[in-house]
Amino acid sequence: MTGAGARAAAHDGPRASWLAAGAVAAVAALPLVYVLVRAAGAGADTWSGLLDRRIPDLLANTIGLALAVCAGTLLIGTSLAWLVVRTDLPGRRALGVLCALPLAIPPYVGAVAYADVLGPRGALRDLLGVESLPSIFGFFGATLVLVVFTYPYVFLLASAALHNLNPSYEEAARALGRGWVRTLAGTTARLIVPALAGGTLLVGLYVLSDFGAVSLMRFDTFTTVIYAELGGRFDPPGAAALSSVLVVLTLLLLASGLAVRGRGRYEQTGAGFARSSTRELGRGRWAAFAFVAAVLGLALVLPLARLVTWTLDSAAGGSLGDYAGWTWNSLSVSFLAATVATVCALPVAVVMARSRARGGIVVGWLAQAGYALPGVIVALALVAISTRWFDPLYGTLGLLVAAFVIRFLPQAIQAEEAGLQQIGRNLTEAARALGASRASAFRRVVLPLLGPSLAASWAVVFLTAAKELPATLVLRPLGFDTLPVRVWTPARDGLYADAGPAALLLVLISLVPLALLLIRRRGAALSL
Amino acid sequence: MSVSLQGVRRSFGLTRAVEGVDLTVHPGELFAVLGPSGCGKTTLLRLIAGFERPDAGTVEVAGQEMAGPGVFVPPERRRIGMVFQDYALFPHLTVERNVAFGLARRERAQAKASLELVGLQHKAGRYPHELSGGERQRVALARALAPGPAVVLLDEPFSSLDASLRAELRREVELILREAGTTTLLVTHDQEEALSLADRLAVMRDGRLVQVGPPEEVYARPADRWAAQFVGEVNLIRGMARGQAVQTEIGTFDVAGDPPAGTVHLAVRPEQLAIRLDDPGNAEVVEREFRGHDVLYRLMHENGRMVLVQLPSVELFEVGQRVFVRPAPSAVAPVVG
Repeated sequence: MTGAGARAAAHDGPRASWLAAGAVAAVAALPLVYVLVRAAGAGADTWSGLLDRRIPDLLANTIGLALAVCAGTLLIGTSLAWLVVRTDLPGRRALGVLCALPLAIPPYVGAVAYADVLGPRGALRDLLGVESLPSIFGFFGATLVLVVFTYPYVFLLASAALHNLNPSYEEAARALGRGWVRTLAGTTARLIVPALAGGTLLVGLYVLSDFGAVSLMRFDTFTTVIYAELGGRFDPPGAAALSSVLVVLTLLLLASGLAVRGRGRYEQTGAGFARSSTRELGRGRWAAFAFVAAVLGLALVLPLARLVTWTLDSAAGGSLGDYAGWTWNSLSVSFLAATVATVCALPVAVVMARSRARGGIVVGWLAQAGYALPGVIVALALVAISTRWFDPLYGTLGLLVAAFVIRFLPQAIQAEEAGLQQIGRNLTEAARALGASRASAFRRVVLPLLGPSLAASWAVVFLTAAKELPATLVLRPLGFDTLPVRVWTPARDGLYADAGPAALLLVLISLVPLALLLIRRRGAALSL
Repeated sequence: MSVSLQGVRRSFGLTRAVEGVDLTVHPGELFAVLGPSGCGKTTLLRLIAGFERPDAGTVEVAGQEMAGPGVFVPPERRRIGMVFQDYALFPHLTVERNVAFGLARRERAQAKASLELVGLQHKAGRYPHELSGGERQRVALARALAPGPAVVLLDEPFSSLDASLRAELRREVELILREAGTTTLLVTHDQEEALSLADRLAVMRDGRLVQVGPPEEVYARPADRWAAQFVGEVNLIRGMARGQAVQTEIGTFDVAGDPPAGTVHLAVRPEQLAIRLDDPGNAEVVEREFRGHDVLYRLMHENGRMVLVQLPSVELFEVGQRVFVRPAPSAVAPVVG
């Protein structure tokens, strides 16, 4: 290192956190590097075979699904947010909480309920008394399930933005002679574009990475095909090639989403919680209420009612499952993943928040490679890497936890970096002027102030890890069944009722960290 | 303890924040660095505190080299007390724990003494967000003083306070610092603050010290036109030097020392001029700024130049009145090149 470089490093952050952050980033980026290198090394035959037959269809399916789901969630999430935050909708406070709750229902759990109720021999057919319904399986079913269970991302970010919007802008538009509809469309909507872009981006990333819901809705996307490759004759270069296309797709989405969000980010003057104008809906109130109730019916009542009736049936029939053991497995693996991710994210967040150097940005991006890595791809890469170089690791709990950490590290980093940004550099400097070493200033000042952010980071990783399906299916140790595994395995074979109790338990577990996050700050911790 | 800087430089990329500063602050002295925002005064403070490394030059505190070629003492071992612009009180600690932060466990009694020094012993159990702006500042000062620092550094200490509080707290802080007997270096952009508080002050511009001296001298004999204009209001008036006097369009001024013969510029403070009602006179009142105890007038002189005059508010002149403006009796104006 040159003199100037050493000086910069000494100033931009403790060297220990640079080393730790570098190590974390290297591990986090490993699957990404593996997939890209392996795909580049795949022969021309492999590529041309894939390009001729599979890739065009998969691209059409995957992109079409992502676009449809993004459009649907944008429409539903934004209109719910506006109704709940800015109108005199009856019961708006309670409805606002309820609208976020579908986040506790993993889409594949929703898919189980939908496949049963709306399926060929389902309750809806009996209710209507018809011979057969149009098939729920395929593009339509996958879109429906994903929209219904991912709109809360858009809803949460949009309602936070509407809530924090300085009402002076809207009042200025009204004072300048704009009607309320034009104000809403022209001023309000423009001001919350960054939030809408952020929420839609989360939805899009989720759709690209989803495996459970699309597989249960029997709709082929990249993830289902890559998973099938892993299960059947394992052809590493071919699987890596398919994965690399999905990774590139994800990166493109990420880049465009961040660009839209960044371009539309306006400087807001003042905070707006003091007063926000409420639109009186008049007779439309009850129509609006009916709309919200319909969404909640689809997203909460229908799936939960089905899960509860299944659970009651199975309890009456003397259920045979080891539910306590599966719940324990789910809790313990999520606990480990949340704890390790929260700790690993810390040095990365420190380097990102405190460093003005380019190195900090690079380390930050690499450590957040998980955003571009769907669970199946992390699983694929870790299987390949461990069987080739670290064989004793394969089939251990450690490898599964590593997959979760790599996959969910970005969420932990975001939560912690946001927390660090709130802690002024002055506070650390004040501590040092009072005789505290760099490490002791961090321990005595930064860590205590970071507490709430660390808790949020832990909760968000726990929540997502508890729901994770594809990496668990591939990497779990022999006989290590978690609740997601026990939902998906029977449901894949059409035995939907058998999935009920595990699915209900999973929803109940997810509610706890979700409630913590929602209470804390209107979903800010879930933002990108 | 003394603070001494020699040839200190610091750049950030292409911006030269501090460019060759030599400065000595004597033990027990209250020293102010006065300059506009962006002049490098905060960087100067951070160099002394150890939050920045100088690119060149040496920093000594209490006779010990803190930074120099091959030497760099980290901030926690410099024995400096720092009061930040926003006070940087630790929000998760009570007032007493804040003040005790820099003390070892067995020295905790010192925290009480320090709080008593600033008169806040009754707020020991409160948290920073429960205090007023002025109280926060005093807590920050108590915290900086508690470990018995060799020097106390204050970064724009009064800028985040209401104007009405400022003058009162300034006096209070001065008394506390004098009682503690500590060497103090304060940076500010407020000339009134620097002039009223400091034993000596330095005027800083573009990373350099333009002038160092006692407040009276800096005000009465500015080093150059810029310093004259920055430290208070001033009329720059051209004139011809003749021995100890300079003849100008407004009248003849006595000057200190021997001015160079020929054309010179005088820095005439507004209070060094006097006016009386006189029609036609030689000027017209165009603006009146009432400041309570005194009044600042803007006059249009018959030569077409604007002249500032400051007078006690005992006699008032009206806008539009014709007046005669001339040097006040016993005014001695400095020559500024």
